[in-house]
Amino acid sequence: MNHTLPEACLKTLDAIQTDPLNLEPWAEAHLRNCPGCREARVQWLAMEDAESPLVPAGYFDTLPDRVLRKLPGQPVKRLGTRPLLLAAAAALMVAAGIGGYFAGQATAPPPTVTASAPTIDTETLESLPEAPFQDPEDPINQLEGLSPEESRSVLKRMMVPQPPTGSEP
Amino acid sequence: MIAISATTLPMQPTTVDNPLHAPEVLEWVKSAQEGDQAAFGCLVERFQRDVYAKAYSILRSHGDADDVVQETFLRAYRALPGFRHESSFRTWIITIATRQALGARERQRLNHEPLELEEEGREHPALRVEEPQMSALLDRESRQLLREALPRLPDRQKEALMLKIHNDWKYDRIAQEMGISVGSVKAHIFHAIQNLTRHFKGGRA
Repeated sequence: MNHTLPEACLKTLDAIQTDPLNLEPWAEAHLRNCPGCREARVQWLAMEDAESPLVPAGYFDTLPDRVLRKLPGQPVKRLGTRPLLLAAAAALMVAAGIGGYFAGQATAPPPTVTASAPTIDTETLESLPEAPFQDPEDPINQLEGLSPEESRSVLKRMMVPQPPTGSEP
Repeated sequence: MIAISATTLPMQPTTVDNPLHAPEVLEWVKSAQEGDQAAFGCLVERFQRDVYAKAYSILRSHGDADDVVQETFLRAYRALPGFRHESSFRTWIITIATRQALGARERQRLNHEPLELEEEGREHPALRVEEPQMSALLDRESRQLLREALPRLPDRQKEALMLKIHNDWKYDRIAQEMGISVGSVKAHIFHAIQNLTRHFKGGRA
C-alpha cells in the first residue's frame, strides 16, 4: 500500500466509518466527486449486519413471483407435437359436429303428425276376447294351418266311427 | 464494485454449517447463469430477506425498500452470467442492493432539495455519470488493481475481510474466530477497505 490518500479522502473515510448514512455536507460533496470513497462507503455498508425488519404479512410469499414476472426474456412455453395434434383433432371434431348439426337442420324431413290409438280402460279389455275375430282353438282354424297330406289324414281319421265312451249318456 | 479474485484469496469459503454456501445455492447460481429462471427464483426466495433488510436499513421505508429489492434482483439476473464467485453470492447481491439503496436515497435527497442549491452551481444530475455506468467502470478497472492489492493487506485486515465477504459471517462470529472484539473486527475491515481504496486511487492516478 504505497499510495497515500488525499486529506479529503482520509477525512471522508473517517466520517464513513463513524456513520455512513449521516454524513456531513462536505463529506457528501466529496463522495459525489470521488468514486473510490463512494465505493468504500458501499462496501462498508454492505458488510454491516442489518436487522430483519417487520414486513407486511405475506410479503415474502409473493416477492419471488413478482420478481420472476419482470425478468427479461420470459420464455414462451413450448408445446410438443402431441398436444398440438390433440388440439387439432379436437378442433376438427367440434367443427364436424357443428357442420353436421346445420346440415341435419337443412335436410330434415317435414314435421309429421303421428296418431296414437285411443286409450282403452281396463274393464273394456277384460270383457273382450283375446282374438275377437279368430279363435286359434277353433278346429276349422287349426285345419287351415295343415298341409294337404295332414288334412287328408285328419279327415280320414274323422270318418272312422269312434267307439262309445262311458262318460257319454 | 470491489471485486476480489478467488485466485488471490488466502482462504477458501467455508461451506460447512453455512446455509448461504449450501450446495444447492451453488447449483442454483450455476443453473441461473445458464438462464434457468426457476433456479433464479430459488435464489430470490433464499436471499430476499437479507436483501430487503439491507435496503430497509438504508431507506427506512417499506415502499422504497421494495422497489430496491426488485431492482436488485433484476440487475443481478442480468449481471449473473458475469458472476465469477469472487465473493459469495450473498455478498455479491447485498453489495448490489446497497448500491441501489444508496442511489435511491441520493435521488430522494436531490428531489427534496430547494432549487436554489442547483442554481448556485451544483452539477445538474443529468450531466453526471450514472451510477451503473460508474459501477461498471469501477468493476473493470478495479479488478486487476485489487488482485494486486489484496495480498498486500496486513494479515489481520485480510483475514477479517475474507471472513466477511467470502463466508458471510457476522461480526461477532468473525470476532470469535479471530479471538478479538467485535469493534476490532469492524476496525480491521474498515481499514482493509481504506487500504483498498488507497490502492484503487493510486492505481487510477
